[in-house]
Amino acid sequence: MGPLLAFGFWAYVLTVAGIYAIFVLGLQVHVGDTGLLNFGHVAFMAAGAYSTGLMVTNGVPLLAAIPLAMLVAALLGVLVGLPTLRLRGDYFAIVTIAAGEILRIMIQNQQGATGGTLGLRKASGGWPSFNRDILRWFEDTLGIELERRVPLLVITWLVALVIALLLVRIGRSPWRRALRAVRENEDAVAAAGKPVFQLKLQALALGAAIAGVSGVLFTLLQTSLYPENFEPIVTFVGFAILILGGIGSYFGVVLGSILISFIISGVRFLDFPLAADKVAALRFVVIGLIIMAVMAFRPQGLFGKKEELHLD
Amino acid sequence: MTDADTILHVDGLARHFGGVKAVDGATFSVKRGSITSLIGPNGAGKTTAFNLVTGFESADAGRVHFAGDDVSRLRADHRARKGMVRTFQLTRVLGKMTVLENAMLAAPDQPGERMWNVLTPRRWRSREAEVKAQALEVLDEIGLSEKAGDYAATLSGGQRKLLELGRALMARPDLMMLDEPMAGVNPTLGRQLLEYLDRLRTERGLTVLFIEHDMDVVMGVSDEVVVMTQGRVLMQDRPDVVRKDARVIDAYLGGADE
Ligand SMILES: Nc1ncnc2c1ncn2[C@@H]1O[C@H](COP(=O)(O)OP(=O)(O)OP(=O)(O)O)[C@@H](O)[C@H]1O
Ligand SMILES: [Mg+2]
Repeated sequence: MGPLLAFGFWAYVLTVAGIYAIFVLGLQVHVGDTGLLNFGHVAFMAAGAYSTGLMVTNGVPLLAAIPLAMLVAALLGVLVGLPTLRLRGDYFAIVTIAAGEILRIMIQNQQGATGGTLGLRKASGGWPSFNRDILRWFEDTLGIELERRVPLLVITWLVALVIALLLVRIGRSPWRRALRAVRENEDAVAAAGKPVFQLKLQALALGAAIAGVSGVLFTLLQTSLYPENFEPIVTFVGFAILILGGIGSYFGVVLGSILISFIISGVRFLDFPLAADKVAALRFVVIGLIIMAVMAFRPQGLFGKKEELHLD
Repeated sequence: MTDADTILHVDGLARHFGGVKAVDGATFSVKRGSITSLIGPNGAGKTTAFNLVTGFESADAGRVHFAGDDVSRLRADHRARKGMVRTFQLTRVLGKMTVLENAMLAAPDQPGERMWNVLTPRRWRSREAEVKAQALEVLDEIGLSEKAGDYAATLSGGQRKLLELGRALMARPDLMMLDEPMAGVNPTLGRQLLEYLDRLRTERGLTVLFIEHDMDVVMGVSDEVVVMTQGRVLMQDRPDVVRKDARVIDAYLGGADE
């Protein structure tokens, strides 16, 4: 049971939780705020991650690559949205799954540029050496010996906090009122003279850019990127977090991310007489069970509004 | 074809669903500042005509001119911004939003609805206060003040009809197109609302086109009546003329519908 005690391991798990929190804050903008059933959200994370990786491995400084990576993710959102957002909701959902898979397979096949299944190495550019500088500074000036994963952990959660606060602030704006109205009834919004399509496109781009940020942080955490990091299951873990936390609640997203990340990581400590790959599969069984349990016993999620559940 | 007196001109509008010719070459116009009603038996194509005029469904043929412009190719929200605002026969309220928010949504010229203004409230806060005050006024007018803070999904059928009207009023249209606005609304309030619309007509030059089955209401308030049957416009004239027309009596007034 060594890893249970290892602080570094839990720092890693919490960083992953923070990355998921950011990822799902983007999903919340789509699903909770605007009613866009985006089942291919992982594509925007992949776009953020691989564009960071490809830029830094081609000599672009990391700090310049980060905003560009967000922009790439947002543009991918627009690209996916332009042909699909006029479709009915369920068609949109199907197309987004396909779009996510297409992007992943493209990344896999562009071996020359992305390394394909062999991975894109050194995708985090100058981050590891910067991280060492941070650690050394703490040791030299403050006499504190930090675990090497702590700086990214702190940065990740600061970013998550800033995004959550920005979303709360945006939440009070007439723009978000219009998004929620789109979620409720597009005809009513069009009859009120509001540009439904543009609103949906903007929401898609914003949520995608946020997912792009999660991709950047993921790149810093992993340093190497592999197509299999961006399989559809990532989106569905995102939905599990959304459902557990409560659709519509930003705080729920944060708590849901921590809970789900700990469950996913914790399962590996359960002592099952199973092969390792089966234990890995068990994680998804557990997530499925959690979603079912939430649906059965607390359908509004931990922080969703119960009174909204039975309205339509 | 469209003179300054005509706010809406619809020419040869057609739409079929499979074999059903819901609207089959309808032509009519609405005079600026008038109250015009659109009548006809169930299934005559009135609601479909509204959908085609406002851009919620696309026409197979025909043209729509609004305030002198050909709007036939514009999207629904664009036509609404030009000043043509409709309500729905089957109400479309924003269920998980409050009644007040439902009304506020429709206010025009809110810079805070632009994405890049969301983080600079000083650009929209004062407009938001105005919009809220207007919305409260409108809710008062339609008798929904008490419900301002409730979810719209909790409203009754008649109250939803009223909220549809309130939303249309908030948009400050030039032409208000109401699809059976009185259906399910208590008659006293209905009459008050008609008086209110009449007042807006005098004050703001509002034009009203409404679909209604209650002939007392239609004959009482309309300047002109458009009669539809089977997707076509049978006639358009003053109410006293329409009332006496043999074809109208035959097709509608004397029919089994009323
Ligand atoms: N989406 C649709 N799909 C198929 N048929 C339709 C559709 N919409 C309308 N119709 C048909 O078109 C015809 C006209 O319908 P419409 O709703 O326009 O009538 P209406 O005059 O508004 O009737 P009512 O007074 O009952 O509201 C009907 O026969 C209806 O069945
Ligand atoms: Mg109708």
